[in-house]
Amino acid sequence: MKKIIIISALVLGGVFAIMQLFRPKIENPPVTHDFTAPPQVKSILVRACYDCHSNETNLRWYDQIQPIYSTVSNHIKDGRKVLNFSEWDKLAKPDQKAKLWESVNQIEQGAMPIASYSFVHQDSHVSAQDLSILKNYLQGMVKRDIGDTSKLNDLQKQYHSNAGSDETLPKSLNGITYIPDYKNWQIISTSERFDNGTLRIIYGNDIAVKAVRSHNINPWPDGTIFAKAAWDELEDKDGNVKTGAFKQVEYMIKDSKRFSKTNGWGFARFKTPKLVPYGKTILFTQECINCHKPMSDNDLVFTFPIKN
Amino acid sequence: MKSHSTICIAVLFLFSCGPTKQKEELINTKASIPETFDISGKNLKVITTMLNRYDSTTSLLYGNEIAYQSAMQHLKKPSLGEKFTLITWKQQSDKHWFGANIPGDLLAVEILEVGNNQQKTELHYRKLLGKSLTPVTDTLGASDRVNFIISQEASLTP
Repeated sequence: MKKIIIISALVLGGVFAIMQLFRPKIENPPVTHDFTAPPQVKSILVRACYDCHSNETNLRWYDQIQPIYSTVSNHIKDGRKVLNFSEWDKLAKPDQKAKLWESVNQIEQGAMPIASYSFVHQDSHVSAQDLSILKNYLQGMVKRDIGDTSKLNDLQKQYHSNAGSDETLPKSLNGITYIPDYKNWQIISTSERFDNGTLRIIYGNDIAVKAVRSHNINPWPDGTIFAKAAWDELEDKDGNVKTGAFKQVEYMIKDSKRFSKTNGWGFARFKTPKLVPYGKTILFTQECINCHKPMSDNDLVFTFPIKN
Repeated sequence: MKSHSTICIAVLFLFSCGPTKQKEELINTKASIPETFDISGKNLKVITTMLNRYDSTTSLLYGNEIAYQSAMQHLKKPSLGEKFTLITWKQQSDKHWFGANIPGDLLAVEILEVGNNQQKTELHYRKLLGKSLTPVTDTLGASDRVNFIISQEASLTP
């Protein structure tokens, strides 16, 4: 018995030693344009996010031991791809804003920082007070455009253009064709997105509406389709907000076989009245999954459906 | 053998102690529309959504095909056969997305039907309050509401 234990320990020790030889290089590329924010905001983000979401990764000694090192290396590679605070200028202004809201939501929903990372890096923990600082910072960015004539003009331009009159329906890179019939569907909910100044209606096909009625929504049944349409907000001086220019329509299609690679959901987004499919490569769906990940317990769906 | 079992139990314990999330109530029951009203069975189309910042209310306007077409063409005057239903909720914060407000308590359902009597346009307006859909008998402010509903334009949907 004692011999077996000694041999096992030696073998394990040998494997452990050999593992240390395999070390993918983790580099810190130059910081092209660091994210700027008030110091109390910046310090939280640096502490909780910068190890994986910047070019200023600070590896601790325990991060350098295999197999942890490989996991950390993957986290950094993936993290920088999704969000990199050191290359902030590579994002357009609206995208920078959207990324910040998404990040704070990921923190609030407990998806970030990743549990295993926080467990080891206790200083990365975002406290309730930290979260409140981040949320106040974002709230301060919200501005109301009362009587915004440029938004009115955008809507008028859309009324007078005949975009989208082409007979062929656009198709996204993952093979989802635009579904014009959503306009005849019932609703799942509406939403006011004050983070980006849009009003939204989430439509659901018959299968979705029936699923809500029968409380059969976690998971949603195959055949469920949601269409979420978004418009600019047009606000008058009395606080009435109505829909302005059409921004986009997004679909989520449940087909556990066809979309098995993206957790059973097919994602697509068609922008502007020209219905331009979103995404430069088929990998755009990874962006969808990343954003929806905090809803893993809710079959990746954010919306609280209204029974109607 | 006993020590093996102890190790196994310890390992199982370690891996099973992750945070377990309570199953959430995902249906928005506050905002749900009573089944007796059967809004989705009325064959109505969604015309538009709107909100009022000061009242923190949000609404959804439905219409039958005639009403939908009128709203699409921005007619803004009653046409025979139009049927509108306007649903208004108090807003609530979206627990799943900081940065969004969604419908909360159901406040009112308003129904407007355009008929005619001896070739004169007749507007039938009703207002039902809250989840109990209690009819409002007071007609004060009804004509403002009729004008509000008739003046809505359909959201642009390509």
